[in-house]
Amino acid sequence: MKQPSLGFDGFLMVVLIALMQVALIWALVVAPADATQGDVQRIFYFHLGSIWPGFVAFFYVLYGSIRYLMSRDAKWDRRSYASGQVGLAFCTIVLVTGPIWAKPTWGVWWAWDARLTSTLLMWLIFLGYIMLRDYIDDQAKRERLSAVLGIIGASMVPFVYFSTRWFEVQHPKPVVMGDADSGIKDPNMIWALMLALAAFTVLYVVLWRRGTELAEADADLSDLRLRLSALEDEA
Amino acid sequence: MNGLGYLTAAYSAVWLILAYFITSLLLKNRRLLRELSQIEQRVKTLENR
Repeated sequence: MKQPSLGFDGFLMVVLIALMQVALIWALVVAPADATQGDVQRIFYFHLGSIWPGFVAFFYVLYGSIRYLMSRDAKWDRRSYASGQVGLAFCTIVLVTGPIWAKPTWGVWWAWDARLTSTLLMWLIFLGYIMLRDYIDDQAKRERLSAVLGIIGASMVPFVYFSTRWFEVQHPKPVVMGDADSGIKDPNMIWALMLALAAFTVLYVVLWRRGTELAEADADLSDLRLRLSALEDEA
Repeated sequence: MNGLGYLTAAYSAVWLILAYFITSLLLKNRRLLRELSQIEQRVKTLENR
């Protein structure tokens, strides 16, 4: 008898669960403790692991919003919205784990430097992007304004990334694609980072696909409700 | 709080945020299924008229 197929989403879930477990083991057990910071440095793997898919999510919002403004096809709005939601969740992780790491290493929870402030601003813009949809009833206007706000929010990504090079900041210099003297050197630390990046990227894909499906189902149901109301009025 | 305490707090926060997000998706899924069944009910009523 033919076994039921798991499908692409099932395959992604299996990969995600496996990657997440290996990433956790590498980050918490296999990678050595940092010589100066000790165990608290292990926050780094999931802190940085979250901002990467966050950036990917916001870049997709930029792409989808431009596609929407060019075509006025609502599917691009729904895809961008789903990506913005996931990006906001990842950005929230970054903004929560960052201060928890900052307190024992810098002595303060927060510093108003260019990196932290621009990340907070980007988070606020995407929070507005998500909330906007609940406050505008006119669909075309809502989609158009969302696309514009999405483009503004996603334009913050290069600024957030390069802020540590352009300004004097408390935040460390980039570890990925950074200067020769910055970053981690131990192979197990690099593996822990790569596994966390891979796990969170797959998580982004899983959540984005599910979010898009739900946004499309929501739009279909709204359409059905309207058509049914019209039929009931006729009957 | 020592280093392990901060580490535990950070990793707990990661899972709590993800759990909140996934729960919100599941709740939306449930709401949509409920609305779909209401629409099916309305279609049946309309067919019986």
